[in-house]
Amino acid sequence: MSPNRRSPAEPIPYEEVNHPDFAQHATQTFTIETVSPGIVLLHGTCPRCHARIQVPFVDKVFRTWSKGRPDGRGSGESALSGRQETIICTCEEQHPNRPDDHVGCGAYWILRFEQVIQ
Amino acid sequence: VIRITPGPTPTDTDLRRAQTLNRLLRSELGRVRAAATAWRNGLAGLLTALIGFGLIRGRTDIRTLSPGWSVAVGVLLLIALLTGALGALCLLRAAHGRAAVSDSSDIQPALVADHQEAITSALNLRRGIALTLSCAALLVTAVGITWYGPAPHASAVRAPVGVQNSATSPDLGF
Repeated sequence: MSPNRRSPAEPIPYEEVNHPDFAQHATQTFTIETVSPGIVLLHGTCPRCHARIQVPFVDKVFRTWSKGRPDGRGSGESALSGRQETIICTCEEQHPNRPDDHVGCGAYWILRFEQVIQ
Repeated sequence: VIRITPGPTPTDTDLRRAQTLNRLLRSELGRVRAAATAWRNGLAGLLTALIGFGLIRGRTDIRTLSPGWSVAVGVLLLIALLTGALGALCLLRAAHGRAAVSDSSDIQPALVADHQEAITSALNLRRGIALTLSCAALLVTAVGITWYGPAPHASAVRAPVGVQNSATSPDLGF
């Protein structure tokens, strides 16, 4: 075996799990970027698998089925403020046992977004 | 400025909702393109059937109308042509995107760029559907006028030059 060759670190398996520390970690590492009106990106590292992730929040999504009443949400940061959102890890890393139509490592948590007047 | 604070413990329902939203976002552009392609094919078939049905025969049909109505049919057909062309462009834009070259500094994360393109395509799809259906309605209206519009008055029909005879010529008193 070549001395330069090393075995890759074993990736953690996919598991849908939440922990209070996840949200606490995310509040310290995540940043908010308003890409355009109606689109906000959260940047940060997953508290479970530590991969860099981007989590988009949008105020509209295309669908081909009819809807009920409009929800009256605004756009951009104003749509995010005053809300709480469930965040899931969206990393592209390989995690064993992950279902085909899923992404990430399975970690999820809730963050609350509040408008602060400065 | 938005401040981030920890939220409550998520439930299984919260997780499923977040997964569904993420899945919708990731498949959004593909779904818009598929829907636009289906609408494009369906509406093209509708217009082809309308025209192929022989609704518009052309000059011979128009000449059976009184002059004012034949002008109205012409205007309707012109608007139908413009509306149909615009609708077709919108549907093609929705189904296949826009041929554009971007500055590399404008490149967004893939999920964001796909979402922006999906929303623009969905808007064009809705416009294309409305315009194409309007085109079909204008065509049907023009055909309806052609079929059922008033015929020209007998007095408005001019006799060809050189076939007047003394019986029909007015007496000018010379």
